[in-house]
Amino acid sequence: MVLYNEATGSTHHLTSLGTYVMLALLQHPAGIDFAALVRTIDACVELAEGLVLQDEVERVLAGLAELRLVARVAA
Amino acid sequence: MIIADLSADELRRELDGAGLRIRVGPIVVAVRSSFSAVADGLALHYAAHAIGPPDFADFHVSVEPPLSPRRWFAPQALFRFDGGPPFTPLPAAQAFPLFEWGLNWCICAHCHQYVVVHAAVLARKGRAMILPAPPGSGKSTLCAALAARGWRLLSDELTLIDIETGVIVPIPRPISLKNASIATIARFWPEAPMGAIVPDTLKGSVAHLQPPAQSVRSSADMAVPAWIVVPRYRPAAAAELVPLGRSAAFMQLADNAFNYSTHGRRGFERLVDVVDRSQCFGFTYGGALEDAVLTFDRLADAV
Amino acid sequence: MSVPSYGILGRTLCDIDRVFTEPADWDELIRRAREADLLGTLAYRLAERGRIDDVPAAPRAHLVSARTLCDAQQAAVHREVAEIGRALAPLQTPIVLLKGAAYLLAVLPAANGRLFSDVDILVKKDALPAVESALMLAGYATTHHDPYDQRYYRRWMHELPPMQHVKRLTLLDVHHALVPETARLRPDSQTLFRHAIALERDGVSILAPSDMVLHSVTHAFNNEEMTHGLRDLVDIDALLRHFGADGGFWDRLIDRAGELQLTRPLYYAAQWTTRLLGTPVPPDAQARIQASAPPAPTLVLMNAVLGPALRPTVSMPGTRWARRVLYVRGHWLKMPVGLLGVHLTIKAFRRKQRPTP
Repeated sequence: MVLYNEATGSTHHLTSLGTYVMLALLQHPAGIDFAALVRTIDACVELAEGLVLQDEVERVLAGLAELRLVARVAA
Repeated sequence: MIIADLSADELRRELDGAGLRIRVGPIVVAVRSSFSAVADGLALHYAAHAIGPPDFADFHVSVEPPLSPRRWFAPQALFRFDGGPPFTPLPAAQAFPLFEWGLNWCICAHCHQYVVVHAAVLARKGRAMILPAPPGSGKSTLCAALAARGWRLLSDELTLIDIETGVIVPIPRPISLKNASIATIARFWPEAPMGAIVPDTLKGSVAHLQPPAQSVRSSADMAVPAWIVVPRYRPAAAAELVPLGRSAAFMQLADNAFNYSTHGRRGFERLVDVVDRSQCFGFTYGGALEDAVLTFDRLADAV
Repeated sequence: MSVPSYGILGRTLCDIDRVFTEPADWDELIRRAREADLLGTLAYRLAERGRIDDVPAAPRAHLVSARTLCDAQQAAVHREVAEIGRALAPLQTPIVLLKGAAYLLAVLPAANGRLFSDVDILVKKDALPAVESALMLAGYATTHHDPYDQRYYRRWMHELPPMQHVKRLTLLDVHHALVPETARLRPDSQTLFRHAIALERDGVSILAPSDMVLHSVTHAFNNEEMTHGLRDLVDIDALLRHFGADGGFWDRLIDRAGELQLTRPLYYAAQWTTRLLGTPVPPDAQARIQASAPPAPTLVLMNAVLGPALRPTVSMPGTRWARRVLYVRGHWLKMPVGLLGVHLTIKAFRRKQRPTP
């Protein structure tokens, strides 16, 4: 997926996991609970051996937050 | 009237006077120069180009010796645009390539009515194939080979995509070749007029190939995007087209677009549109140019 | 003395419709406008007038291109101001936007079609160290690493050496006064802060209208480099027309110029904007401003010098000489004469690097 971020004027090319995370978030513009997000992704992707989905999603979210594409909000 | 209609004296007079006006695709450049290398280069490479109108030029440029004492010891050439020099001077032997590089700069810096992509672009029956590639990927060699075998040359360096409509605007200019590809193309396309080989530039040895007259005559005919092909040269590899994901193709265009960030969101949307309308491939080849051309001919005929 | 000719660019800026009625030399107009950094302004004004489509196709492409570039820069300045606001918010110290960024964030006509090269902010002198730290933490690095230049900016001038963001490559100038510490005429910065107006977003402020005009005036007429001479006048004209619509503005402006000891630059500015751009100045304001005219011999020399220096193109006869004289004057106004010799000599040996193609 390629994205144009209006806020920063930057363009980004997301990896496959990043794409799924972003798509899931776009479907829940008001926000989504982390556990629910992981469950949604789990249904779509199969991770390689030795990788933990929760950790990978956390890593992707941190990256997206740094790019100002997503933000953590209080529940 | 075309440049070839001018006598050598008339050409010299224009270059010494208000500027020789050349129509190059959508733009008119008025050039002044006292260097004979520039006069010779223009007479050869722009022979088929129309003479521009006297009342308006998009870019007024000059290639002249700089006004410094150095001009007497190690002759230099300086490119000026509207009186100001965007680059430092180069050795005088590089005067003609300097004109070409300077004109590239003018277009990249001042033509934001287009998304300007660093890519070659050729066409078959009004359908354009864009070849984005960083230096050294063999893009120019491939571009010359395709032009030799009947593909219409729209540009070997600067692909102009109209920001409003998405059409590809031709701007046929001399094809620039470097180092080994000079000899390769001289063998592949011996009839093509090639200018002087200029050694020792920052890019190595450089020579220019005259753009096919038919391509120049058709420069008012726009083309629509049909293929995006990213070439990669691998010694002794067989010519092979491999489908390329649309995101990857998009990033190739965006990464190679000089004025992508100037266009902001509209640039993003325009390039997405170009990718959506195109078949996208990576192309590996090992230097067998006939095979490469055959591959592209088959691609064009497959529609 | 006769009014110098600024050719088609000057005439068009005075009256935008002229280019459609007199024999059009679009080639000359586009080139002069581009050289003066006024191509975007020209494009904007023609569009505002609804006349872009009346421009022939070839020159119109350049206007469209310039407009695209200006729009992109505006978006970039908005983002940059937001970043600066974010970086400096914890310091709880006033941040006043200056020049182009101020015109843009305050939505003033002076911002339309303008080209922006950097963002300028004004902060309190005692906040400078904290501001510089916070900016560095946010990714801004100092430029001008030469120790002489660093000293020039910090000790003698009124700003930090220009900063550049390491990722975005945007430029930021941090000032603590509008005029250098070593200058002969020194308006007091505290009063500028007292009168500053807070903007709703980004935690930044702008100068009060009179102060904004006066800053623009001192930037145009006390500075060393006159390369943007005509563009600065266009800014001043736009500000005066906009603020002048308010009846009491001119008196406030002239009073304020007196308080800040900037009556002489205001005199020059008013002279030139009325002459070149037809700025409407109420008669009683004109009379008050006239009172700050310099003594006659100075007036003649400055007029002779200012005329050629304001022309947009270096290649027109007389301009290079005029710019050199003003360069010296600019330095004279900024630094005590003793320091001046030193600085000018060193500057003469510093040649800027230009990129190779």
